[in-house]
Amino acid sequence: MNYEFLDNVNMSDNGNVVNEFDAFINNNPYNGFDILNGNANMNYQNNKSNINLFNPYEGYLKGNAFKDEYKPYKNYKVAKLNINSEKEEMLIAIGECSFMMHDLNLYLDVHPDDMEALNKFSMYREKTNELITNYERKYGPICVKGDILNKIPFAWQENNWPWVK
Amino acid sequence: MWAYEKRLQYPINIKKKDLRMAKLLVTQYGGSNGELAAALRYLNQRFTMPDDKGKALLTDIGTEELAHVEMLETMISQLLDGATVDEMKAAGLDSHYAEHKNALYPTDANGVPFTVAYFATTGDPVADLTEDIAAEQKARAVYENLINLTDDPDILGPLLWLRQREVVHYNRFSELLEYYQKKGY
Repeated sequence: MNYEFLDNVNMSDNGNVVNEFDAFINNNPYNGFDILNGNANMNYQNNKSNINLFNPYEGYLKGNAFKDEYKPYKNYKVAKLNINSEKEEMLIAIGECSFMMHDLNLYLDVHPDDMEALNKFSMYREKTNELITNYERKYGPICVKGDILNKIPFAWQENNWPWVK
Repeated sequence: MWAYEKRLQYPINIKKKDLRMAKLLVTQYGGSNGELAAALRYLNQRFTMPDDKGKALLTDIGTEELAHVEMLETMISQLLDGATVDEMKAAGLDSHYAEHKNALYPTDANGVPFTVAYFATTGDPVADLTEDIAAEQKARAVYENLINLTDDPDILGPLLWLRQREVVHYNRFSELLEYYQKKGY
């Protein structure tokens, strides 16, 4: 995994992102996450809400789920994550989805009656759980509550300690 | 209680040993504006938040700060990976080596150990949240200082990301403070 600072993204000090980024996002290198890249399958459009979310790919790279709150530093570009394996790809997908869930969690703590935020939160929560289960089946536990720990040798202690390269 | 997830909130993969940056970055681990102080600040203050919104937000942001502690620990650990005694000496980390060898220890960039004197609890939600809002701004400023001190993309990526989290936390704390002030706290 390494970071590549996107040449096709120009950011001014006031946080405006030029349109090239949209094209970049539409070429999302991950497969199978189209459901997360738009407003698919949601029926909240009629509810009044102040949230305006990035898609998970862009939100995760930027560290901010909320378009109106994003504040870049000087003219630093957004770091794209270059992925070298399916394992990394699956882990980043969990990162993206759980990130959106978490940022909506913080928002809902203060705005508990926002139906659109709740619908989005629920969508990302379900998707995060699914992605974690899929990852754990292939690459080992993320959560000690995972079903895959029901075998010898005990897999929790093995590998994947996140600070080890 | 807490449940650990065996993954980082945002990926870290530092390939180049850099003892100078390890020495500087440690302040966002164990310095006055660092992540450990933030986590403990919110996880203590939550007990005297006046309603469920405050208890929830301080619990959840405090928990995220623990994930940021882990990111900083990972960065420092990878920056120090394989450092020899001579390299530690050359980087001004011989005093660290004397006490801790290559182990992690939460200090600021000058080696001053972490202390709970870095944060307060007053029992007053307006006073505590005003501190939290300031803490997020100070942490953002320190991340910017650190960003200015490196050009390694493997360090810049995570620092830019962590800086942005301070922006989001600042906004949530500001909304909560405004809500409490409207309620007359």
